[in-house]
Amino acid sequence: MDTAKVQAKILDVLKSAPNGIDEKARKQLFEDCDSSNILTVFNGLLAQGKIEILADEHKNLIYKLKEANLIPGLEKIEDQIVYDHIARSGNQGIWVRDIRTKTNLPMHTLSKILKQLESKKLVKSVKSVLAVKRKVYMLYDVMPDSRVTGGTFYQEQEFDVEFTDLLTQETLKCLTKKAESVAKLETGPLEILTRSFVTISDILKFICRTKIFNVQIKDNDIQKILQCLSFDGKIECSSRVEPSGETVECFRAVAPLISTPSIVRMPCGACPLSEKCSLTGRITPSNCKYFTDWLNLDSNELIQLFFNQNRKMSGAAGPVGRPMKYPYTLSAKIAQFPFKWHVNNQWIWKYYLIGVAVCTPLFYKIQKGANSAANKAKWAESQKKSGH
Amino acid sequence: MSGTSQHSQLCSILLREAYGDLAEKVAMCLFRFGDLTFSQLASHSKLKQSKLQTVLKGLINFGLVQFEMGVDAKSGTQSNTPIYNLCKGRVLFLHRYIRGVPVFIRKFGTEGEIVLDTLMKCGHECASDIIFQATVRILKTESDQNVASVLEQIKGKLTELIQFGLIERAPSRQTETQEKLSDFSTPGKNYSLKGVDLPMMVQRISNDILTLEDAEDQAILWQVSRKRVTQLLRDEMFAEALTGRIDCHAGNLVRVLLQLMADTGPAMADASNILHKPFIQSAVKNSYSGSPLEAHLSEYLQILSQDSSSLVKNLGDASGGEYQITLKSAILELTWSALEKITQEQFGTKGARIFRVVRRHQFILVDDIQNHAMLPPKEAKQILYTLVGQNFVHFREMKLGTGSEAGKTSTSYYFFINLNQLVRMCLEKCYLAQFSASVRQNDIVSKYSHTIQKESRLTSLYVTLKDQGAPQEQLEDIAGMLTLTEREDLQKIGTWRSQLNFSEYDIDNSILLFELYIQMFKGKI
Repeated sequence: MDTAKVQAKILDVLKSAPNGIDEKARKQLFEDCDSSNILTVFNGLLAQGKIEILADEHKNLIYKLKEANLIPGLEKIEDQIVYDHIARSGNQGIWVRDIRTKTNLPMHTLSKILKQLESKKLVKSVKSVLAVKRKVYMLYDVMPDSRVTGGTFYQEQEFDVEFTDLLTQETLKCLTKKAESVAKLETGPLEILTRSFVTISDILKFICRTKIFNVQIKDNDIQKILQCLSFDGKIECSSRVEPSGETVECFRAVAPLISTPSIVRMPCGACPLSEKCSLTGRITPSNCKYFTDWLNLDSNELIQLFFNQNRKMSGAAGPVGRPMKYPYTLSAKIAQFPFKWHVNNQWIWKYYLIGVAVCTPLFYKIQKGANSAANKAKWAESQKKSGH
Repeated sequence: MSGTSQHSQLCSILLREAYGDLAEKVAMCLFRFGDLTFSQLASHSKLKQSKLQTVLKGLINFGLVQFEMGVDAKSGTQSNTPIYNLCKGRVLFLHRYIRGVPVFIRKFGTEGEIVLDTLMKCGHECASDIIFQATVRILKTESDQNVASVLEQIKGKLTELIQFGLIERAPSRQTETQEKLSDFSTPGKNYSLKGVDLPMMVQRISNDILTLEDAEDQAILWQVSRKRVTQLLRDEMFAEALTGRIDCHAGNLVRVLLQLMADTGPAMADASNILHKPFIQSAVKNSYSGSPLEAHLSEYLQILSQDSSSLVKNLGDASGGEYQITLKSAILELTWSALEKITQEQFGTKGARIFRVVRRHQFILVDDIQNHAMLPPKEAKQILYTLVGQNFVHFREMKLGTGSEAGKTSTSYYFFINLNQLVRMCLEKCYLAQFSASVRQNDIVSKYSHTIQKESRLTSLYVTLKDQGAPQEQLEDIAGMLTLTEREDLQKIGTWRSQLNFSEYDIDNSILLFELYIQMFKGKI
């Protein structure tokens, strides 16, 4: 049997056995062929990357047809190995360091291969939300898993603060509206309490009716938001048995047990410098700026100050969202220019009116004098004399 | 109760304001050095023995200092040397009493509050003296009233207050060295005051003799019960919390249940005895007859037993329903709620969310906090580290073996809340806030002393001249001696002082809650 025929037979046999064949089966199938010829053919197929040799749990050799071989355009064995690993990772993707560990390829070679595969649109890189700086590779036509993309609450692998806040607000609004409408009923307190509970599907219906969101919101997303609201202490969870006999989770808006503890109604309650405050030294109750501000406020302003001051004192982070991409555009410059400050602080604006007020009668007088009949006659006479 | 610098500063300023410098000096010696004998106290306070005696007498009279006979170290028998110690809780009780005044007025009327106030000003006094002094105070403002009826009314109020437990027996002057305070139990429900001679009092008041001498009951002394006042304010705190959570009827039911708890067993126990529904029903009928609470009692009981406040527990359905007041768990819930609110005010809603996530999971990794709190990783970490920096959240380092290589470990940081430590910290902050408010108030008074003095001088002059029948022009001249700026300053001072005063007393609400927590969970601290 010549080499080409042996090669074709090997490939046919391996194609018919997706789990590959072991050494014993190989020997039985090709016992009529010359063993040295067989080995040369196998080595040739291995070098071409058409087959692979694996070892099973008993360390027996398994000959198997390579799947990557089915992909056109992958001639080098390294390309195929890398492609193979990426394909195996499925919709979870694989990190470049993991590919490197598995293939033992040098970094620059691996980068080159990945670039080549990306340019051929065989694989794609996706940013993982699990680690900000980590890119995972997966096959080009594979949809990444929600654990990689982050699900509904992530946009371009970044947490969508605005969307989450809006969804939280709408969910709470749904629960509060229900509680308010039920509270008006003239029934017993237990009836009011029972009817103020809302299920996840009710919330989902309410949110769909608002038509605020373009994306499809699922039960899981609402569940997450409800968990978040329960951490905020704004809702409580219970369960009820539906007429069908199924037990469903339901939620309702609740008021806190303590509205505002008396200690935080004073600036000392949230003061980060309280440990350094004493009768002597730089920070004393007598020279405390927070106290002065608090005493000089009326009750309405006081509430606002508390909110701002407490956050300022504690160094808590302000709202974090996506930063403006081009903050220095012309329109942004115009919008941010402190016109009011300049009007209040530039001398020219203040004195402009005074200048106008002083100059107007003067110019009026000059104008009147210049255009008087006597002056006109004098001017005509002087013009006449000069021969014009 | 703790004896930290904040607590010491607050006690010092309160004692100085209420009882003067000498009393403050002696009391603070006892605060700093603990139990002292008379000679030790004299050496520490550097006061003359006669002066020290007078001061100690005053402090004992107000229940601020207690004493007991010491034990001889050699023989182990009781010696004749009294050992003095400061009752720290009694010092801060001044604020608590003032905060309780609106509750006393609501429950016992203005007369009841006057009786309590008279007794607070004396420290301890016999019933005849209390009735006489309270009547004189009322007649000063309302002179047209019948003396005998006012005396009768005050006596009734005093009896009511004694029966309610707000006024309790104090050690008598003659027997105080032999008897302990615990021997003086509060009289029962059917107690009536004996030895109070009302006709004699009417006669003395009619003759304009405004002092009472040699009353028959002068050996039986009474004082305001600190324990009962605290308990009353505790009940109000729970009632207010449930009123905010459910409605006013639920709050009223809580009042009734807590009163039943005090009537049927120890008022400060972890849990009450079993309360049967008919028993609760009759108590509600007595206090809130015809109200929606009476009509929907079963529903309110069910709501309360299902509420996350954990105050009421349904034990079974025997006798129409068995209920128990679980005070310990309710105080724990209320404390958590207060701490969560404090966190919210200090670190914003997101800070409170992270605090609750850590609370619910006990030991949690930073990645899990981010997932549960639904916050961007950077922001979640920033807030978490701020919470750690301010000691609201704590962390523990855990080294775990990786399994891949021997000896190689990975370090994880588990975040948790040390509730006991946090409560202590917040309590210290409360003491400091009260102290700061007091210092600031004194500072305002000293800064504007000139204007305040001028105003008081002019006011007294105005009143004198008005009494003498001075002409209107002269009175207007005096009134005009205060400039516009001075008037504005005085108005400002008045607003500031009332704001500071209110805050100073208001903070006691938080102090009460944290102290109750420490008292209930002291075994764990």
